[in-house]
Amino acid sequence: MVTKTPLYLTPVQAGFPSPADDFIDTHLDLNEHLIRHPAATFFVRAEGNSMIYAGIQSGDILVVDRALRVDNNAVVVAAVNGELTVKRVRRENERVWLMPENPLFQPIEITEEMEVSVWGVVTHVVHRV
Amino acid sequence: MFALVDCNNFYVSCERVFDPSMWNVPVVVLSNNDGCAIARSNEAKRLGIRMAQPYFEIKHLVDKHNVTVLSANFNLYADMSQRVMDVLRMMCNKVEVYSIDEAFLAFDGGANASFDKETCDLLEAGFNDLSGSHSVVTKAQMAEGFSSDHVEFCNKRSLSEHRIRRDLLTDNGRSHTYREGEYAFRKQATLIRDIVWRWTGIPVSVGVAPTKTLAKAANEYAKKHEECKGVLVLNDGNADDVLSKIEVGDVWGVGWQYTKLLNRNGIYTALDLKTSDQRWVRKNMTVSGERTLMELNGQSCIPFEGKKKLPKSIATTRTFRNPVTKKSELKQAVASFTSRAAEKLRNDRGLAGVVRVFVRTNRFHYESYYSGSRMVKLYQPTSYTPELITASLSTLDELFKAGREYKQAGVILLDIQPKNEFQQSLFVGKDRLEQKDALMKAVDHTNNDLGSQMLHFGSAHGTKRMWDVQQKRSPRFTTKWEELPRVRLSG
Repeated sequence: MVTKTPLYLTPVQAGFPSPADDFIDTHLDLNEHLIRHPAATFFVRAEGNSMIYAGIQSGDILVVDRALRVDNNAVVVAAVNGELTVKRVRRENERVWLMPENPLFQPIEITEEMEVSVWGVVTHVVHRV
Repeated sequence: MFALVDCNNFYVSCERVFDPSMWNVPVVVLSNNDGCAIARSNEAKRLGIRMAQPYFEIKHLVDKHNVTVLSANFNLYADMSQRVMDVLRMMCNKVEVYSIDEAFLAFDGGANASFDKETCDLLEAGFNDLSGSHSVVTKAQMAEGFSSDHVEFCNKRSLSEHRIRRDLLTDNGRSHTYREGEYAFRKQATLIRDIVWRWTGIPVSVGVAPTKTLAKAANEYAKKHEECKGVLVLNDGNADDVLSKIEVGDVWGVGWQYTKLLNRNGIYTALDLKTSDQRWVRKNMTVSGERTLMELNGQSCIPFEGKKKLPKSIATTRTFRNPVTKKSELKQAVASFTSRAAEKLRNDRGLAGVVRVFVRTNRFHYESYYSGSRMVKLYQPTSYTPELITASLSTLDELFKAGREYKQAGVILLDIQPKNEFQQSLFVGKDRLEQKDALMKAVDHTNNDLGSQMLHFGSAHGTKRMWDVQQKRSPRFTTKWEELPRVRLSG
């Protein structure tokens, strides 16, 4: 990723230099804000409504960081039965659920025999308004 | 010490990251235009599918065992490779990228494995909190097993292993320096494997040894023997045993011609070669064979190359979907391949002194098989596409034989030298060279921004449909907004 640095310096021959020259910053780079671990960060496209109350709508782009620890209540991309999906991890006592964020959908309890694995932690949602 | 980090079944592993339905099932990646198997999952290897085997030969296995077959997706592989190398650079300050899926790391006497603070914090955060939610993952993740390729290492991750890792990392402050010793090497190599896997989803094997050739051998062994869990550190105690189980043809630097010679002389394993007579080896295998012998004996002769070296050659080769019969079509193809190779050359800041062009017909039609190649030496080294195209097209008058069905052609740029060291010829003005540079820069930028081949050279026009049809290529998950992995939120 390339961060462009602006060169707004006033030409010398213009006379008195702009007093604002000393305050020039680099551009704000959204990558810096959204991505902590570039090598471990992937973008995926959400399709469907099961996470609507987590602020994820169909068509949104999710920023997924594989380097992060999976905390309880984290929203994760998980591989369930050969498919990638997004759920909230809920852990209580010794039991673990993948929770949807939409009452129309059912929680999935993870049992020993299930093929489930966490793929990465969703850190941001890019949503077009 | 050297560590060789090698991605397991790299192209297949890249595909698997984004498609869990491919975990645990046989997967094969075919070369462009579905020619030959260029990557196989372990399951596919077990079915007997060999490297470089043409598709028609494995078709019956594919049908019978429901093998997933994909066309190569080099955009994806290049991006994933970059990620793996970036992670390695975070974990070791001396990384030599050796190929798209391999890197040598220099462990300087074991005393140079320092992590930056952020990585340490993260590793600690990832591993220390076992009583907390991290065990959610451990339990939930089917031990993170993508497939049998990975399970052997993930499955057995126990609490105590995590503890050991954590101790290693936090001992001696944040930025930790390992003392010499096999234990530390093994821990470090295991950590590298674990982190690359976690961050990128790519499983790797790590071989650690005092020479590059031995590190390669250790890696080879670790890959094939599950009990290693993907990591092997060679030492005086285990080296001979390991080398005795590696075929001499699999030793780094021993080609197939030498393999035949060695076998004729009773040398079958890496250990046989290691204990061969040095004079005999020098006489029959030149100094490079002698170097291999010394490396097998633990004397490092091939140094760590920190700086990116210019490649010896740059090739662009394609197999045609439909055979090419017309000279005009072959010209278009060769011109287009030359453009692409020239782009790569400029990207490496190199100049080429020689252009080689080859063509061949279907090599499975034995009776009519024809192949030929010609080299052209350039008046002076260049990376200017029109000059390279002129040179490559000049070979076709001799190479092209009417009435043949060409299946493959390629352009190889040779005698590559660094552009900044090139002494300009007295006969060509500097202005002229700068103009050419500026033009090439403009072409490359346009093609980078607007998509490959947006701007191309007249002679290369119209070639696209001849070989660019890729039926079963997966989406370019990491490099195109329109092709991001899709995640279903409806189940």
